[in-house]
Amino acid sequence: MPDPSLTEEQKNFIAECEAEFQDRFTKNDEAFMKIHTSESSKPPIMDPWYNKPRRNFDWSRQNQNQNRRNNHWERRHGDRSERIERHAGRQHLYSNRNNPY
Amino acid sequence: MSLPGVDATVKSQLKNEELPDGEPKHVDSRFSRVSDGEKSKLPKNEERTSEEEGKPDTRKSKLSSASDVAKISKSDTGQDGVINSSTPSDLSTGANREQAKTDSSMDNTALVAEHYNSLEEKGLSQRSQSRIIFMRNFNNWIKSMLINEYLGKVRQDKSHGAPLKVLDMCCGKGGDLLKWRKANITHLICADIAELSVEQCQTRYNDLVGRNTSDRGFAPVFTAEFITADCTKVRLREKYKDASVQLDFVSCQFAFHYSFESLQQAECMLRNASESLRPGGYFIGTIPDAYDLVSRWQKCEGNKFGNDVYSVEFQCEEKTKPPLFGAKYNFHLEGVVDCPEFLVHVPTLCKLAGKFGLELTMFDRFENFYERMKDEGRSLLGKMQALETYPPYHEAPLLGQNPQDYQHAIQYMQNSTGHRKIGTLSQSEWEATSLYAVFAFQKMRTTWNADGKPEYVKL
Repeated sequence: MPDPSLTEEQKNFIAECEAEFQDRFTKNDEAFMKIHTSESSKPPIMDPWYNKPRRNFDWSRQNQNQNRRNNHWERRHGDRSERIERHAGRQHLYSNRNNPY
Repeated sequence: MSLPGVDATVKSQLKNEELPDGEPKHVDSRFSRVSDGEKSKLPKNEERTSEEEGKPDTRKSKLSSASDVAKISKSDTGQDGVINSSTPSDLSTGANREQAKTDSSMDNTALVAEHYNSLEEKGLSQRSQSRIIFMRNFNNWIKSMLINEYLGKVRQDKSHGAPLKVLDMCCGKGGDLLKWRKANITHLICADIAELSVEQCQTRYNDLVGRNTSDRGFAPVFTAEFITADCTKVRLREKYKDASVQLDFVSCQFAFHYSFESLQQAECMLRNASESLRPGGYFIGTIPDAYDLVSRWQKCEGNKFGNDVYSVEFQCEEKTKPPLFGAKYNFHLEGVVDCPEFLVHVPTLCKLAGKFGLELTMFDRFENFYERMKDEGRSLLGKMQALETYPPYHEAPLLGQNPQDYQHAIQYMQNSTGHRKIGTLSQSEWEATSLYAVFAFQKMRTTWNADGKPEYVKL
């Protein structure tokens, strides 16, 4: 049932494909049968696997700034300055409190 | 769909959640609806750390001082300015075609856009509990390896430091932005059908630029432009800021199969992928393997198969002879996609792509691609947490609940000595992700014949 909105060229293309690939997804389709008859594969196993338990990190949401300290692949300067800042802040606090005078 | 991983991206990114239960809507009404209702749901700041929330102003001022960023912000206000103000930009192959389209086919793309527009960003806690997090990370690893492999090839033909321009078709929320950053490209064009996704993509991009302006001594972040358009119906070239641009690389992750709804849409998609691509450039992507889909379909009773993380329901009758275009199935993936999709018969794709000067140089199921890349990408697998640790650590229990999920791992451990941990995926996730395949097309050299038609010559 050719779509009436197709151009002549498009109709020809479909007709060519229909002729050329009429056996698609049947037992006469070699490439298909290769998949169809093969045993389904087993999940990958990486051995050994050294991966420390971290919070499950959803890599697909990577660049949204949460979880920055877990994100080793994209280590940014921000990490470091943030840490220094925090540390410096605490030092300052301590030195005030410990001031004997 | 853009699967998982993606950004799911494909799309990354990806896209989560259920279809709204409404009836299919026409494209126009869809956008207005979205802009009213859905934007307010966007938890824009929810996920920023308090540290960042504290200084939005400084970031903005940094942004505006960077000249390349200023260029970018222009792009969202109006891309079509220069080029074809007289051409209706949403007609790719002539005015008649769109009008001739039946209502039902309009509905499908509207449905897809609506689906992705309706996705809310989930909060962190919900996200890290996703049942398929490792599969999504695994898919992201596949994309990273694919992009790096083929960008590497593209780079070989270029002199050091030459600009590298990329089109991300169906970019989703921009799940691949960081990959483009890592790959150190020069310019990125992001296009997606869902307005909301494009907005989020742009926000992420601006964040990326904001973060990196403080990295003195590093190459500047690539420039970018953003286009909201149905890549299966709209000629993207007319929307580029520079319609004469020559691209080095086109990527379409977990999305190309949407175009096989009809021949016209597949042609439009391929034209978009090909027409600005320079000879020798690559068009890469990820799609479900139709042979595997149909094989599983034929092996099951009825039209539906799957497991606890994915299901596929075919909407056509003939198990042995689905149509070349418009062979529709619904793909449901836990919390990520639930969309009508279409079989991509690869020999038909190759034949059609040839008309646009694209030659298939690689088609590999995920399982084979993984085998080929696992050594090279080993450390990245770990960093991206693309596999689940077995046996589990106490703090991170296994996510698969099905007793069959880890049989392969149990068996493997029985046959090996020592108390090592291994990395793997649950059976359910593997059944879903092993449906997919990666592909790469290379653009051939164009010559023009006496009738003014293009002819393509292999490189």
